[in-house]
Amino acid sequence: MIPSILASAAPLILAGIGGLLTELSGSLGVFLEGFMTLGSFIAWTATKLSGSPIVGCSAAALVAALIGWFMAAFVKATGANSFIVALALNLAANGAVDAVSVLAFGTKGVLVDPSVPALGNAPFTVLTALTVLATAFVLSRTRVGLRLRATGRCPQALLERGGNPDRYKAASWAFAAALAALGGAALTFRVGAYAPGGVAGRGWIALVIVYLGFRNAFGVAAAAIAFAAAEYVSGVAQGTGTIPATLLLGLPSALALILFTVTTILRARRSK
Amino acid sequence: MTSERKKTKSFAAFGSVVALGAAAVAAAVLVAATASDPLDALRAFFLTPLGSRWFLGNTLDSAALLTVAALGIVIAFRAGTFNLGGEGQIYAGGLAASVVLLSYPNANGTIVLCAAALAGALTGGILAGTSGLLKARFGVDELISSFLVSSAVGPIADYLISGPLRDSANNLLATARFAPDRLLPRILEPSTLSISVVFALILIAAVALVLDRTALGFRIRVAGSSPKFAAFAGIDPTKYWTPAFSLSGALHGLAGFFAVAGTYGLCHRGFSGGIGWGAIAVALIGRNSPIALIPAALAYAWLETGSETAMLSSELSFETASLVQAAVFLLVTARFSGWNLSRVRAFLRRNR
Repeated sequence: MIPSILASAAPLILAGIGGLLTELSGSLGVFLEGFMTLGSFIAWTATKLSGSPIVGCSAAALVAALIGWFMAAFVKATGANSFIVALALNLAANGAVDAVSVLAFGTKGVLVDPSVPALGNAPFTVLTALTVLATAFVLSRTRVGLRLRATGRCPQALLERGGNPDRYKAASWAFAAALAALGGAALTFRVGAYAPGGVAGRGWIALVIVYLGFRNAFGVAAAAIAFAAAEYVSGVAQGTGTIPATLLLGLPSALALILFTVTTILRARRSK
Repeated sequence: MTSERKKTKSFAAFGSVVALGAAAVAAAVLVAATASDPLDALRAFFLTPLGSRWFLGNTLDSAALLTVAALGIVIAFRAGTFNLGGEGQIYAGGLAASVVLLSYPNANGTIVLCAAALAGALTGGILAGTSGLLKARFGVDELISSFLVSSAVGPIADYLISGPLRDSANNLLATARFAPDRLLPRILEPSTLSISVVFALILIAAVALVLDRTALGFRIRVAGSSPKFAAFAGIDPTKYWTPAFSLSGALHGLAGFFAVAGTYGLCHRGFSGGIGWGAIAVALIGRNSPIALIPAALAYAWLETGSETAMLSSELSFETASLVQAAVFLLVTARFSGWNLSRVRAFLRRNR
C-alpha cells in the first residue's frame, strides 16, 4: 500500500517541484499539465526507438527543457503574456501528441509496445526523493537558490547584486518543464504504456500542491503524498464497485478544490 | 492622447491579424502535410466553409456559440477576473437545459425552451459564481478554482449522460432527441444554424451598451483595470467580482443551451469539448471588446470549420482545433499588442 501511494505521488511531486521553481521565480506554472503530457508521450516514443527507458526519460526531460527555455525567451523577446503563452503550450501539447500519434503510429488510442516496460514503483520513487532533497538543498543552502528566490520576490535587488532575473526565470521554466516531463514519464512507466489523457489534470493539481506545500520542497512532497493517499482510497472505493468509475475521475479535481479553498481561508483567517 | 490611443488600437488589431494568420498557416500546413492530395485539401480548407449553405451555416452557428461564451470571458475580464472554467460551465449548462427540455411532456414548447435557457444560464452562473464568491470573500484565486470546478463537473456530466440520462434506444452516448417544438428554429437548412445567432447579436449589443455606455460599465472597467485607483474613487473593486463572474458563467451556460437546443437537438457526451477554449481565443483576438468579437468569432469559426472538414476528407484524421487555438494563444499577446492583461500580470507578480 505505501509503495503504491509513494509511486502515485511521484509524478505529482516531480511536477510540483517544477511548479515550486516557477513560483519562486515569480510566475505561475500553468504549463505543467502540457509538459506532463509531452513528457509522457516522448518518454514512450524515445524508449520504443532506443530500447532504453533511461534514454526515453532523458529525451523527454531534454526536449521539455528546451521548449520551456524557448517559451521564456519568447515571452521576454515579444513581451507576450506568459500566462496565455503557457495555456498555448497546454493546448499545443494535446494537439501535437494526438497528431504525431496518428501520423507515426496510426492511432489516437493507447500505445503499447514490448520494448517499453512497466518499471515498477522503485525507480521513480528514488528519483523523486533525490529531486526533493536536491531542490531543498539548492534552495536553502546555495547562492543559486537565494538568487532564484530573489527573482520572484525582488528582481531589482538581484539586478543590483549583478544577477540577471531573466536568466533565472528562463532557467526555472526549463527545469520546471523537465521535471514535469519526468512526471509524465513516470506515468508512462508505471504501466508501460502511453495513455492519451492519462495526465488527467495532474499538472493543475501540482499547482495546487505547490500552494498546499507552503512553497517549500518538503511541503510539496508531503502535500502530494497526502493527495496520493486520498487517491488510493478512491481507488479502493472504485474496487468495491459502489461508485461509478466515471464519477471518480472528477474526484482528484474536487479534492484539490476543497483543499485549496480550505487552506486559503485558514491562511486568510490567520493573517487577520 | 487620442492619436496615441488610436495607434495602440491599430497595433492591437495588427496583433490579432498576425495571430489569426499564423493559426491559419499552421492549420494549412497540418492539413496539407497529412492529405494525400495537398492542393485539394487546401481548397477544402479555405473554400468549403464559404462554398455551400451547409458549411456556411455551420460556420455561422459555431461563431454564434463562440461569441456568447466569449462575451462571458469579456465580462469577467473587464471586472479584473479571468474565467478558466468555461468548458465545464458550458457542459453543465447544456446538460441542465437538456434535462428541462426532456421533462414536462405536456407543456408548451416555447415556454419549456425559455425555462431551459434559464436553467442553463443559472447552472453556469452558479458554478462560476461560486468561484467569484470565494475570491471576493476569502481571496481564493479564481483562475485555479474555476478550472478545478470545471474539471470536477465534467466527469459528473459524463456519468449522467452515459448513465441515468442516456437514451437506451440510441447507440450514441447521448440523451434522447428533444421534441420538435423544443428546438430553436433553424434558419439555413440543412445547416445547424438556428436563431441562436440572432440572440448572440442581441447579447453583444446589450453587453456592449452596458460595458461601454453606462456608469455601471465604467465603474466595472475602472475597478477591473486599476483596483487602487478605483478604491480612491470610492469604488470597491471586490464588489464586482461575484456578479461579473456569475454573469460570465451564465453566458457560458447559455452557450451550452444554444448548443444543445440549437445545434445538436440532443445532449451528447463531451459536446462542449473545445468551445470554452475557443471562446477564450475569440475574446483574445477581439481584444475584449464586445463588438470586435463578431469579426473575431467569424474568422476563428471559419478556421475551425475549414480545418475540421479538410481533416475529415483525409485518411489520417486528428483534431486540429487545439493546435489552431495554441497558435492563437501563443501569438495574440506578443508585443505588437496593446492589450494590457493587468490582472494576470498582477497575478504573476503577486508572490513577492
